Amino acid sequence: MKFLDLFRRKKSELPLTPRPLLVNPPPERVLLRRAGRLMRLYRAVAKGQETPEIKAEIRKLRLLVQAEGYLVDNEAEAAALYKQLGGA
Amino acid sequence: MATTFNLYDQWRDHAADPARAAAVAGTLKMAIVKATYTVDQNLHDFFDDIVAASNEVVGTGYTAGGEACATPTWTGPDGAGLLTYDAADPATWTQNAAGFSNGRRAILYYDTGVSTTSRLVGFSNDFGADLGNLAADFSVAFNPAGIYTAPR
Repeated sequence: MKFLDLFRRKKSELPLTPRPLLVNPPPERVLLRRAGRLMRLYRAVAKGQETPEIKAEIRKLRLLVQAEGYLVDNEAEAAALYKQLGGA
Repeated sequence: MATTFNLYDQWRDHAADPARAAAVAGTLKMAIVKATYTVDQNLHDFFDDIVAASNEVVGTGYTAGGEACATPTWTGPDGAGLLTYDAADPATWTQNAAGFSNGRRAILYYDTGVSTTSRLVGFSNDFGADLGNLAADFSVAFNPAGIYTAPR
């Protein structure tokens, strides 16, 4: 019984931190969101998690970010843009 | 505006068990619900808890069940050990004069096509006002830092 209680407590303490959603976000928040997503997708690719869907999303996001005047071709550039725009 | 996003306890319980987490099936989607939906963070586990009482919004431009959030991914750990769960944002609900105007929360879930097996992930706080695509486009985006994170 004590073991079960411990197990339950451990599970309830699993540190998952949900992040606030953006409702009707202004353009600058949309750009920041895209930079953050691109950074993580490039990171996934670097770790061997590349899939056709991830490649397609990178292509789409890269074009959207480029339309705002930023060239982002890899994780480092995406991370730099993310920080430049105020991402932590 | 930013609105707090919360995880259902049943999802946290599921995510804590590697075998069950790996068995989660379906397409990650975001649905919009009306003020009639009363959240039970502790007990609600499947999408039937939401659609049973017609809590989902209805209107032109809104497909029942919501919009897909493509390519859900776990990435990391980064240099600080942070793991991040994230996905593509749902498509914008385009303005339509016959659209919905009574959206109060966003619901994230894995749609299997059957509401009784479509596992709930999380829900937003009440938007604080009725929102929708009746007068203008309506969009909900995930946080720039991801949907949720797991620190070291």
